[in-house]
This record gives sequence, C-alpha cells and structure tokens, in this order.
Amino acid sequence: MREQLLALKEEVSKALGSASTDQEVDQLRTQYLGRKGPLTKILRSMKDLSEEERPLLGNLANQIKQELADLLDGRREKIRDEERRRKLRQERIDISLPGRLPSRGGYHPLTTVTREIIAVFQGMGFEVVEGPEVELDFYNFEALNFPRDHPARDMQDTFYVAEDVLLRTHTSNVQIHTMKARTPPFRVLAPGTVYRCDSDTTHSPMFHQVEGFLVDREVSFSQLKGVLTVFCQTLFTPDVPLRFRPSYFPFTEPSAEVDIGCFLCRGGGCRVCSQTGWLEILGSGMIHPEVFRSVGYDPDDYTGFAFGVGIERIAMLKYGIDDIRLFFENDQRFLQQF
Amino acid sequence: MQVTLEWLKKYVEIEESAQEIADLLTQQGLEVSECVSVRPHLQGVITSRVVSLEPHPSSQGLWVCRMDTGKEDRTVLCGAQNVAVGDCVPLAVPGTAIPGGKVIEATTLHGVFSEGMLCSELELELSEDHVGIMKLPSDTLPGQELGRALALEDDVLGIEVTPNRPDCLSVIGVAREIAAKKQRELRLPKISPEEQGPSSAEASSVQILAPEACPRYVGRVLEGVRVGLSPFWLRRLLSLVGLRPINNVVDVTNFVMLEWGQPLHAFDLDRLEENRIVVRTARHGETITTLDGEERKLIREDLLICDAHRPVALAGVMGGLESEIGDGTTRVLLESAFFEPRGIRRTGKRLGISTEASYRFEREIDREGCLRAADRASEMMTSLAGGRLLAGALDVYPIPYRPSNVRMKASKVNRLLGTSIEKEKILGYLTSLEMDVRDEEGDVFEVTPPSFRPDLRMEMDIVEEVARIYGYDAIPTHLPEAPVSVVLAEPERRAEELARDVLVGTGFCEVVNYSFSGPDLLEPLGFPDGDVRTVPVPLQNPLSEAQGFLRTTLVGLLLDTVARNLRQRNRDLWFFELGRVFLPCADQVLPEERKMLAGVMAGRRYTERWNQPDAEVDVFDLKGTLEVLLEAFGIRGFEWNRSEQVSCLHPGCSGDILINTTKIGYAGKLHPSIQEVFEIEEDVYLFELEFESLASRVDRPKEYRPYARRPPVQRDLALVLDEAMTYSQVIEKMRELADPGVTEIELFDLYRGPPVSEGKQSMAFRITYQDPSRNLTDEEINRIQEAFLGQLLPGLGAHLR
Ligand SMILES: [Zn+2]
Repeated sequence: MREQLLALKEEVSKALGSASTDQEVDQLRTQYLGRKGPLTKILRSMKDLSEEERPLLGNLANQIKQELADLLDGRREKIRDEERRRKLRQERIDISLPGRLPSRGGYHPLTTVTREIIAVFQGMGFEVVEGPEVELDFYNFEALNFPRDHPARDMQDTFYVAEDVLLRTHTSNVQIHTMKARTPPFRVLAPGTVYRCDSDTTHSPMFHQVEGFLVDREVSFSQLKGVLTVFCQTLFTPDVPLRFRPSYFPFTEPSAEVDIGCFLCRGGGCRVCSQTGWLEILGSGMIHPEVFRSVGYDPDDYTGFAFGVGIERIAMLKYGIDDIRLFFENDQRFLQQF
Repeated sequence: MQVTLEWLKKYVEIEESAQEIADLLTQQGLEVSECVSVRPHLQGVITSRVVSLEPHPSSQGLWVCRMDTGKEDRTVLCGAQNVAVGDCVPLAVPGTAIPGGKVIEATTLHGVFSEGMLCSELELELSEDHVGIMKLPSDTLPGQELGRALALEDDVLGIEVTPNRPDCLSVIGVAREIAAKKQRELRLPKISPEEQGPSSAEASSVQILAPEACPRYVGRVLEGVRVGLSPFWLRRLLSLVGLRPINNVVDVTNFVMLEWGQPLHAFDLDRLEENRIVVRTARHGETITTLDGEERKLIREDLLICDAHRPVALAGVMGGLESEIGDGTTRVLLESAFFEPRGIRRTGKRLGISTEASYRFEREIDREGCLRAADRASEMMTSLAGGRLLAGALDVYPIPYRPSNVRMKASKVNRLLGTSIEKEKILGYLTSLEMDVRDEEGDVFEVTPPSFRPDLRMEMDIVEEVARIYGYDAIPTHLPEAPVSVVLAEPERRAEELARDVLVGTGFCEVVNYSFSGPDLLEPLGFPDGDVRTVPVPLQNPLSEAQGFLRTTLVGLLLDTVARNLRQRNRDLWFFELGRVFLPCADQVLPEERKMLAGVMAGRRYTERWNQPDAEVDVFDLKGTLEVLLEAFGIRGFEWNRSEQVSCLHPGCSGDILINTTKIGYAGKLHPSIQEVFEIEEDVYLFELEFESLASRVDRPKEYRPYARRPPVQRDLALVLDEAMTYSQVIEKMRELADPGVTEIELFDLYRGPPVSEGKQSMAFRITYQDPSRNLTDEEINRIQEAFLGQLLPGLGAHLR
C-alpha cells in the first residue's frame, strides 16, 4: 500500500507537469482526489489493515493527500501567475497616445482677473456692489466734482444716449449711489463695465474697472497706502516695488497714482513700461470734500478713500497680452488659453 | 507741455541729469512721459569768419571765401549769395560727415582748391531754413565746435500736466516746482521795457463790454516794428518744444506764453478799424474767419475781440485772418488778457478748436500776470524786431483778482495724511510754493495761495500741497482696523460664479462682447413688432453704425462671434456670455439693464480622434446643457414648450423655457435662413435666459432626502406607440400610474421602422423598483408591473413589443 501511495504521488506530479490550464488542474484534482479517485479507494481499504499498520499508513496516506493537494494548488497558482503575466505583457499600450478629451471650456481672462481682485479685497472686508451702466450726468460727473465745462471732463471721452444721460465712464458712480443710500462706515468694491469713445491697441470703447472705496471717521492717506500696498503685494508678488505719486482726479484729493516696479524688466526699462521701469496700476486718493457735500455728508464728520483699477490693464500685464482688442474678439484660440 | 532742461536752468539752478529731473517732477505730480536727449552730430563743424570774398574767376555765381578758423585761414568755395565779409558762419572741415550723411572733402573745383563747406541750417538739420548760409551771432569767436558755441545740446521733457495745474503749462511754473522741492531760489527774468514816444492811449484804446467774460485786458502798442525771421536761438527753442517758428513778432508771443503761461496775441494795429479794441459777446448769426481760413458761425455766448466795427479775433481761442501780423506790419497791438475759463471752453468745444491759447485759458491763467507778460513780450520785441514801445499800458481791469484765505490746523493736516510733520515744516513747504503763510497761535495758521494757483481754494487743496512736497513715499503705510463683520460674496455674485463654473465645466468658453450692437446683428433675429428688443437705445455719438445702439439681446453678438471664429477656421464652438442687455422703458430716462445668460453650440461634441469617432452636436446636447445648468440652481424638470414667437429659431426644434409656468427664455436650433444671414455653414444651437430667474434661486435651502439602501430591481419594457405620441406624453402617463416603489423610469431606446409597423414607434424604458425598507421579490414586482401595464397600455393605446 505504501508503494501504491508513493506511485500515486509520482503519477500526479507527472500528470501536472503537462497540465497548462486551470481546467486541466481541476480535472486532475477530481481524478485523483475526488470521491471516485484512487486516493479515496486506498483510504477506504485502510480498514482492512492490521491495528499496527493502520496508524502508520494512515499518517502516510494523509500526508500524501496533503502533498497532492499542495502540488495541485502550486501548479494552479503557477498557471494563474503565468496567465496574469501573459495578460500584462499583452495589455501593454502606447501611453504616449493622446487622451480622450472632453470639450475644453474656459473662463474669460477678464472674469479670472476680476475674481482675483475681488478675492483680495474681500479679505480686507470689502463687499461687492453693482451700479447702472447707463447713467445720469449727475452720478457720473456732477456729484463726483466734475463741473460742467471743466477740462477735467476731457479726461474721459463720453458716449451720450440723451442730454445728461450717458454710458458711465467709470464705476465711480457706485460711490454716489452707495453714499446716498447708506450711512458710513462701509467698504465697497464696484466691479463693472465702463465706456469711453476711444479705440486703438491700448484703448477700447468698452472696458472694465474695479472701483473701491472706504468711508469712516478718521480715515487717513496712510491707510489708503496700506490697503493698496496689500492689494499689489497679493495680486503680484510680496516684494513688488511700489511707488505712490501725486496726480489729479476731480473726485479725490490728495490724489495718487500707484505704480508697481515693472516685473518684465525688473526696473531696467522695457517696451511695456515705456522705459520707465514702472507700470501704472491704480488711480486713487482721499474722497474729495465736494463729493461728500454732494451726497449730504459733512466732510468734517467723514473721511474716506477711493481707488480704481483697470481690469484689462492688469490682465494684459499678467498674461503678456499686447492688444486690448483681443479681449473682445473672442477667438477660440485666445479663450481656450485661460 | 514740453520744456527743455537748458531752458529750465535759466530760472533755477539744476545740477541733476535730465532723467533725475524727470523723476523728481513725476514724483511731484508732473508726470514726465518722455525725456528726449538732443545731441546734434556736428563734430567737425566749426565757427569761422569771412575774411575776404571774391567772385570765382571762371564760374559764375560761385564765391571764393577766405575763412578765419581761429588757427589758420582756409579757402572755401561757396555758391550761396548771402555771405559778406565779417559774417560768422559754420564751416564743415574736410573729413566731416554732415547730418545728411554727406562727407565733406577737400577738392579742386574749376581750378580753385576748396578746403571745406559753408553750411545752411537745413544742411546741419538745425531748422527748415535753407535760404542761405547760416549766420551766427557777430561776436562768435572763430574756431569753436559749433555745437558748443550755440549750446545746441539739450534735453526735452514731455510733461503730462493735469487739468488742475494751469500754472505748470509754463516753463517758470515747472521751474518753480523744482525750486520748491529742492529748496532752491527761483530766478525770474528781470522785466524793464523801455518806453518811448507818445502815450499808447493816443494810438489805441480798449473797451470791455462783457466784464464777466473778460475781467482784464492789457494792450501794449509798438511802432516801427520790422517783421522778419527770429534769431536762431529763438527758432531753435520753439522747434524743440514743438512750436513752428513764424516771425519775430509771433515767435515772441509764443515764447512768452511758454515762459509764463500767459497766451498773447499780436494784432496789426493798422488793420484794426479806428485802431481800437472792443471786447464783447457775439451777435447771433455773426461770423468770423479765423487764422486757419475757416469761417466760424457764432452764437450769443461766444466772446469776441472786435475793432470799431467787426470781430478781429475769437477771444482766447484763435485770431482772425484779417488782423493777422504780416510782413508789412509796422504797428503792433499786443493783447494780454484774462478770459473766463468756461466760456472759452464752451466756444472751443462747440467749434471743435483747441489751441495752445484756449488750452491755457480754459484751465485758468494768472489774472495778476497779464501786464507782466505784456511787458516781457514788448521788451523782447523791441530788441528782436526793432521799433519802440509807446508809453503806458492800456490796462482795463474791471474785475480784480480776489485772493482766497484758508485757515487750518497742522494737526488736521497730519490726521488726514497719517503723518506727524511739524508745523514749521508745513509752513516752510507752503512758503516755498509762493503761498503767503501767516502763523497763528498753537496749531492754527492761515494761507493765501498765489494768484497763479486757481486750484488752491480749500483746506484739502493745501493738505495735498503739503503731501506733495513732503513726498508721498515718506508718508507711512498703515492698515485700517479690521472690520468686525465678515463679508461673504453676495448672492448675485455667487450665482454668476456658479453659472460660469457649470458652463465652463461642461466645456463652454466664456466670451465678452461689446454692449454695442447694430441693425445687422439685431434685425435678422426677427423679434416680433412691438417687442421691446426691436427698439434699442441709440447712442448719440457712436463710433460706427455697427455699434450704433445698446444691445437688447446677447444672441446677435454671439452668432457674430461664431461666424467670426468659423472664418478663422476654428471649429466646435461652445460659447456663453453672461452680460447685460438694455431695454428701453416708457416714461423713464434710463433703460432697464437686465442680466442675460446666453450660449451657443456649433460643431462637434467630440473631436474625431484615434480612439473616438466625431459626433455632431444636436439639440439634445443643448437640452442636456440646460438641464445641468438649471439643476445647479435647484431647478429639476423645466418645461420646454414649442413656441412660434422665437422667430430666430427653427420652428420644429425650439421653444420657450418655462419654470413653473414662468417664461425665462428660449432655446433651440437656429433658423436656417438666419444661419445664412450670418454666413454660418453649420447647425447652431442656442439659448438665452433671464439670469435673474436663476440668480434668485442660488440661496434656496437644501434638504437631505434619504435614499433606499436596498438593492434595486430593474425591468425593461418596450412599448409600441402611435408615432405622434411625444416622449413627454408617455412619461407623464407613466409617472402618473407608476407604483410608489418605482424610483426611476429611463428611456433607453427609441426606434421606428420594421418590424415595428408603419405609423408606429417603439420606446423602450428601463424601470427601477426599489423599496426603502425591504427587498422586493420577483413575484411582487411581477404583480406590480402587471397592474401597471393593465392601466398604461389602454391609456396610451399601446401594446408591448
Ligand atoms: Zn519694463
């Protein structure tokens, strides 16, 4: 019987050697270890053995059974492993092939820049307010201390819809609407579309602005510098050089133009900064007492500052766009870049 | 305003470079936008004097000149006829390349050896003058480099003077800014004209009939003037700052205008009837021919300078043609006046004239400076054009200048600026700007600004001056205290962001179009008569007819964007715009500004690639987009109703978009005939929605709905229906009859054709059954489905396939 068992083992390992699929292994398992297989037969005939032989051969039989099972498992595992490897080898593809793309959308760059600007000022407590684009002369000019027949009006060539009705030339009209409707303190940001009759590579008859203003008691010019410094450092780089210089806007006094150091030439002078090393970014100033008077505030009670940024200007600088008309041509090859 | 560095140096000491001065002025609020170095290339051109002059022995018209060049004499042949013995002239020695590029060589011409060339101003590119050889001042030493002898090297600064600073429309005004910043002395020219002969009152008179419009008029009379070419230095200086030299009389008026900021006008006194001046407003319908030859029609508010009978100048704007200075002029009436700024501006604007004079008058000149400027010009004229200045000025000054006083506190200055500048320093800054400052007790002081600073009237004006001289960069930088309240984005803004995010995520590009539109983009859309969109708000001064009015819809411009992109061979265009349209409102001055959201789709859904076939966009891509968009705003199941009113869309494939029976816009396939108008050769799908109806839903409350955790069971169902039956009729019926256990009904196949019989269609649905609390058995579902079909089939007149 011992010989029988050993021969069985020999036979199975030989048969396994030529088995190359899972099914063949399973077949062998049934054939040899199944209920009708030779091993079962041997185990059944165990009862015919003597008391001494039975445990010895019983152990051997169980051992062989285990060995056969291991052999079969090992073979099956090996076959599966080979199968997996074969598959992996077969499934190798050229991953440099282009991907399957969904349609490619994009935000207009003016939207992106506006969002960035709003985010910075939101962090400093400014809320967003909108105003009308078709506006009365009073809100766009008169109340902002642009008297009639004053050369200051030449600074902004205006589209008219009717006598005293115009397309706003800046979003500063929101200052007047807000101040008339509310009581300070407030911090307001007014993004929007504005219009001037002008058209060339740096001027568009329609463009976008963000106007901001803060009104409270005891607001100082140094706070204006503080807020605008944080703004420039956040929008550009924390170490961007800044320059405040006197200027003139009818609705602010003192007025300041804010320049940042040209990041293209690092101050050395280039075409973009007209060789000055500086880029004009913002107009700003302390809100003019006449503006407060025109909305019924006492300039002795309140002070404030206001500033305005051109969105196209910032976008042109940030993205290196050299023609303002590109923003409104809406060519897909332009739009998909942002 | 253009000034030169050398000119500035006449009034203030400057050791800085041109660039340093440019930076200084920019930091003071006088932005220097241009700084041009003028360095004529004149090496080898020297000063020389004509020692002798003989006609060439054989060649007529040529002169043999013996020239003193400082060291030795040279012989030079010269063809010009304006040279005389003793003249000082420029000589280009052999080897010199004159500005035109020509190299001068020593040559023998007609038997005479010539060592160089005498030059004209044109040949040296110093002026347009080419009448003859350039003449240098008679005291010029021979043998110097010409550039040095004439001080030709200079720097021209272009300054953007803001409208509040008329005083800086003058060289002295600019010099004053430098002097104030650098605490240097301002050296004004000494003016002491020598008067001769009779009183000017005997020769002329000035009468002002409109004192409000002309509060001061100074006239000075000169006799025996010889009109001619100005000396080189004056012509050169005017050219450098952009003015064309004309003659010595006019050039002097321009020089003084640039020096002091006071525009002057010179009349030929003998061409004034009765030799007198009357200042009055125009009569309605009156005309004048101005210097530029144009006849100008006048209205009552225009101010005129007249002689005894007729207008001779449009006051402050432009002189008249008939009283102009000419070559024969000998008697000059010099005008130095102050005109009320707004009147000048109104007249200039109305007639479309802007001159150096009107530019200054409308910004307000120095009323106290009129006489001084007239004297300065008179003195220069007698020295450059000869003649004599009659005694006494005709100075009519009905409304004298009234200085303003501003009382203020040093502490207030510091509070407004956030600084701590000592009072003494503040007073020092103001004094350096020629303000009259009176120190008072404690914190208080009083300021009287000078007459040339009309911009200084109130406390804030003075504060700004302190800040300018103290320097903006020196003012400390502080942040205001943090606000207590937290600012979140406003609902409207969040709604905009959401709509953009969804559409960009779906594959759309955002466009920004002009708010202007024109008939070509509106009329083809065919909105019905009476629709408010057909009567847009026109602009009074549009840039072109195509941008003649404000848009009433985003669609026309979007279609134009598509057409333009297709012409550029861009494909697969999915665009949207979120922007305002402008709708006129009856009885209201201002139009209604309504935010709209519009989109277009043209081309393919997928681009053809190695691993994916291309597929043209169809109306269901449009609908899917709308579904995703509206669902982002919490709107499930909007209605899309066929409507005949949207005439720009294909009638069989479009409709109105409704939410709870409220119309919020329209969507569909573009009408083929409009496609043709816009020259678009492929199908276009579009939508336009009123954004407010979405935005108002951005803050709707959201509530969690529990979902069934039991496994779903699905059953497929193919119905054969009448062809005319719409999906929405079928699905509505199904939803009505379905058991509560049905969680989803999805159409997964739509089929027409054999074996389905003619006039019929097959719709195949997948029905999902799910019970939140327990597993459903097959038998239960069979029962439910049977009952469902029992009602559904007769209800729809359908049978199972
Ligand atoms: Zn640069």
